Amino acid sequence: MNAPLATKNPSLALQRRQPSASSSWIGVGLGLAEVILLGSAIQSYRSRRGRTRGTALVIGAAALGGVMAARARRRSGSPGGIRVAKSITINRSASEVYEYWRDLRHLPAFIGYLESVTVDHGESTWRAKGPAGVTLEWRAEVTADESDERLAWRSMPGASIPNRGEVRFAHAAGDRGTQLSVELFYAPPGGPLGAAFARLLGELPALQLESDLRRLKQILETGEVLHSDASIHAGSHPARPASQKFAGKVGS
Amino acid sequence: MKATCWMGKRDVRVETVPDPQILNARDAIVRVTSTAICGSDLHLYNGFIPSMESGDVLGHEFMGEVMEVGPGVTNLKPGDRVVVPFPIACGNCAACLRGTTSLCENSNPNAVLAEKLWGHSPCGIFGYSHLLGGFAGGQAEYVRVPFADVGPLKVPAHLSDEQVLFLSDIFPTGYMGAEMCDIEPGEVVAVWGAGPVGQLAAASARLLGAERVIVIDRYPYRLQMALEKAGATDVINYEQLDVYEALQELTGGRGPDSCIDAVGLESHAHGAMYALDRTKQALMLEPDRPLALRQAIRCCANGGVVAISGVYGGFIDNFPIGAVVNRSLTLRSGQCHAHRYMKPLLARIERGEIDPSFIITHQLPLSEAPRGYELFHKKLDGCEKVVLKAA
Repeated sequence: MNAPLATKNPSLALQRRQPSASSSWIGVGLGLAEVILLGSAIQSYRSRRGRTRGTALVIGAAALGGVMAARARRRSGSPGGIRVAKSITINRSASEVYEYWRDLRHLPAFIGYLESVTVDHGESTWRAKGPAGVTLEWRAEVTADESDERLAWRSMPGASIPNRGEVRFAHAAGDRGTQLSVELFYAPPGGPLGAAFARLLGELPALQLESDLRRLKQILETGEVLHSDASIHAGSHPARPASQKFAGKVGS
Repeated sequence: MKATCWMGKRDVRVETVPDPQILNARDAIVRVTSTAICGSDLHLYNGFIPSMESGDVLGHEFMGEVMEVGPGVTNLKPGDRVVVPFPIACGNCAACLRGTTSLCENSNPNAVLAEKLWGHSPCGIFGYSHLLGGFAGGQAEYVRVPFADVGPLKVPAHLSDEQVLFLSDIFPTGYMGAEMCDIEPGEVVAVWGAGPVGQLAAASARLLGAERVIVIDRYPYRLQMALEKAGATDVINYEQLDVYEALQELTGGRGPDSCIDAVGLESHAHGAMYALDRTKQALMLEPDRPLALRQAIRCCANGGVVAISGVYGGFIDNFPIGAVVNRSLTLRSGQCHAHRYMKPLLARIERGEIDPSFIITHQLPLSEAPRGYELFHKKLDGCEKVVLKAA
């Protein structure tokens, strides 16, 4: 994996991104198109267990995913890897956010595709459940641990999908809590495994990560992940949560 | 339970749907006694708000009796009579702590969708599309209320449902519209739209000290209500008068000191611009039709405030930015931060300063919700506000 290491300054990472699509009229149109496709993607995601919705929607979502993945690759500066980066502000102290994240067993509570993370002797085992019952598992080690400031990890050699990640905790000016910046790099292999992984990650990796961080914010600020009503309803219904996994009972 | 479901454009039905359940520790289940159809529900009815799904339960103005609370709710107990504010707000995030609950950062599970459209996400709202969370609404027998430790307001038994129901949305929304105008004694406020929010904005402008309140609409029965019940001093029927000229005359050529747009994205008018906007909207080139807003900006006095209480969802064309910039106008807007207004407005109701029930023209059983939507949409039978009795 040849992607450059995360820049020290999170704001630089942001500046590297593509200019906002909404900065032009064409961009506005694209923005709307993305919303429509995104809605379709979420719908098709939701209905995956049950009835299948229009194939066109799925193709549309997949095409959009392709565009976004291509963008992500351009950002990473590496032809083979995918870089995903997001920031969020959490109204809690850096030490509180850091302590929560540092216990890697908490990650599945807000990271959509993770089923479990177990920790033993400084190494951890990450398990993810994908569609069609595909389970992926890899081991990882912490590569940096700076109290209340930074955590980094990477998969151990031999992982089927080499990946690494880094999270930075910075004081948000104006007593607004903690500015959290996450950067993930993946090097998905070709072949069926890579394809399964792409599905696992979701067609929209950046949005997946953002949803994950919003769930983390909900947990730390309000105590738990907020459910939408239709998680319990079959058929026509108001929205269910982005992932069935979070549609549990109270306290689960 | 029975619930009012959006089945498609102009297709609302009362269906049997599963009863709501406690899903989060801070939830409550409320048995709805009274609920109302909001003007903004008509935007859903008419298909202007994206991300509605067939079967979605409508309704964000409701009150009732607490049936059940989750383990995280200690301030409510079964049997409490409550009014529930339409924005869902956690009370913990920076926006809630500032009192701007309609900007709650944690209450929209589909925030990433809303962010795509608007740049950032507002709060989740009951029964108001998947873009705003996909929460089941309150035009139903029962409703699940998330963050019930923050939103619902207990109301005293001596006040009727009709007197306090509108604390859920339109009274605070109208009041915030007037508050955004920073009314000074002697000032003139013009309100576009004599629907329920316009009436309560006009009444609130009087409560806040406006000398003169001018209401603009095209339905005589609504203008009459504004004069007789809301405290408007003057009304303008835009089908009979040129609004700009009439306002110039009423204000000695200054224009109103502040203007409230209580119309929103489906405004009507005459002339070429209306035809153009309507056509563009039909072709999906311009989601929102801003005729009232354009006119309010044109009419507003130099240095004045234009407050937007009406609902807009997307984009507008031909925005008169030149008038805003060259005449030092201030634009203010926002979904109402209802939580912060509920207690003070309840106090005003208790003191007898206002009784917002004056806007109610129709009371129907929940089972007749589809007729209520039709009456309200088509302005039939003098319809101003429909209250549905669920129990």
